[in-house]
Amino acid sequence: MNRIVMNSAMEGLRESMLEMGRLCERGIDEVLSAIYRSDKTLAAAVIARDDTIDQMERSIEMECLNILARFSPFANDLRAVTAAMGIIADLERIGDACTDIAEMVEHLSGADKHIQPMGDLRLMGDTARSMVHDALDSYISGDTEKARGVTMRDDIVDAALERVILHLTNIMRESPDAVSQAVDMLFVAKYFERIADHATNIGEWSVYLTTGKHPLDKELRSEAESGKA
Amino acid sequence: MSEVKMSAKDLRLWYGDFEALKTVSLDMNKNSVTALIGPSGCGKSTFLKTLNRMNDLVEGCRIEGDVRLDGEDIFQKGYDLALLRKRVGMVFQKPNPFPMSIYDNIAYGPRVHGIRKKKVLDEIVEKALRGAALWDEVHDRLRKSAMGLSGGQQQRLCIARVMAVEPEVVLMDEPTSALDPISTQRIEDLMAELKKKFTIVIVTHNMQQAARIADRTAFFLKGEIVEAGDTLQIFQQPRDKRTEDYITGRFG
Repeated sequence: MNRIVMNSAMEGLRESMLEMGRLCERGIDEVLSAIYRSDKTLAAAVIARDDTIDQMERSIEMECLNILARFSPFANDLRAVTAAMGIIADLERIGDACTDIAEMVEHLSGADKHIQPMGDLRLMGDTARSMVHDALDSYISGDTEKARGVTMRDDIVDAALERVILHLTNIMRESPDAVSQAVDMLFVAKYFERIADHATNIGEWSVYLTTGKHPLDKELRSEAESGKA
Repeated sequence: MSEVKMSAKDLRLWYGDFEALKTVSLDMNKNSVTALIGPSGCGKSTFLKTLNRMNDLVEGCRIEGDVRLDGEDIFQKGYDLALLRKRVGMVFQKPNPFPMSIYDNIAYGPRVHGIRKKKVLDEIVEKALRGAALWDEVHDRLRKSAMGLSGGQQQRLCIARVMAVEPEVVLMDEPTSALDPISTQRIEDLMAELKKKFTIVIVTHNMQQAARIADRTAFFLKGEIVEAGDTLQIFQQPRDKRTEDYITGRFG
């Protein structure tokens, strides 16, 4: 095995993944701004970028296959490639969720705007973005504590979703005109919650890379909780 | 739980002053393939040869600890060496057919063990050649010299020769390192078949081969076993940093 050539292939893989991750983080930031500022141009830019994210998934997948075919990696290298293939699938879904949110911006920011984006939505978006960032960072650095922290923050997003649902249900009850936009806003919140779930998956892959075990969400959580206690 | 066929416990071996094996312990399970991996000079071939006492022939070789076959100490006084080598056969790195016909190569062992009847020998030869996946290629030239076979065929002949004396354990010392990929694949396929009947212990420098064929793998380094375990565990999640470094090519 030529370790120098292989190291450079593995380094290339990590860089590609970081780049894909950066595009996803940027998508989350921009789609959140687009919602708050009713910025249709920004939303269109997010939608346009989805093709790039999809292509990156294909090309990183190819990088992984090339590494498997050329170097038959074992141990840590093998887990890094396996985890990469799982992670890029989650990143691609994050890109899709951003696109889905962006497509609702127009309807949500029309002249007859009934729904103002609530603070909890920003909390969800910001938390989800930081989760994606830390999950990928833990994959690169092997910091399992950081990965476990990602899982813990998923609770913040879930709790915020509950509040958003309650708030929007109340609006729908009180003003029938707002129902159509409220339903879209519900979807937006749900998409942010899905993004946080994908970030949690990425965190789990990072733990797998370091420990060789792909933890169930519950296990990760109980370890993190016992660590806190 | 798998049944242990052979085991080494606290085995130490010296060639003169050089301690080639330092307190090595390993269980080798019945009907399974155990791969021994490690860098050159780590003691894996020495360990393999100890399993049928080939090292007895080396001058200045001294052994402590015990090696057991079906629970019986093979180093005990009065242990029947000829019987041990019948029960524990060996296939070497370089195919070493005897300079005689294909038939006589296979019949050699059974004849040594007293079988004379032609009909019985015919049956043994055919069964062994079939078992080694060589029959179809050589059945019409059994009386021709074995030296005319290709390298891969010669190695399968050597495996057939071992099988003809119906061993219980087959030791293989890098059996495919001199063979092309197709012959290598034939031998690997063969091992998967052979382990249904025998216990196989193989030394290999080819990590992919160990990962493909072995049920358990032991990593040797400087005369010690650093780590032994389930093959998938060793290659996916080795416990010891030195194993990880070796199998990922970061060694040295």
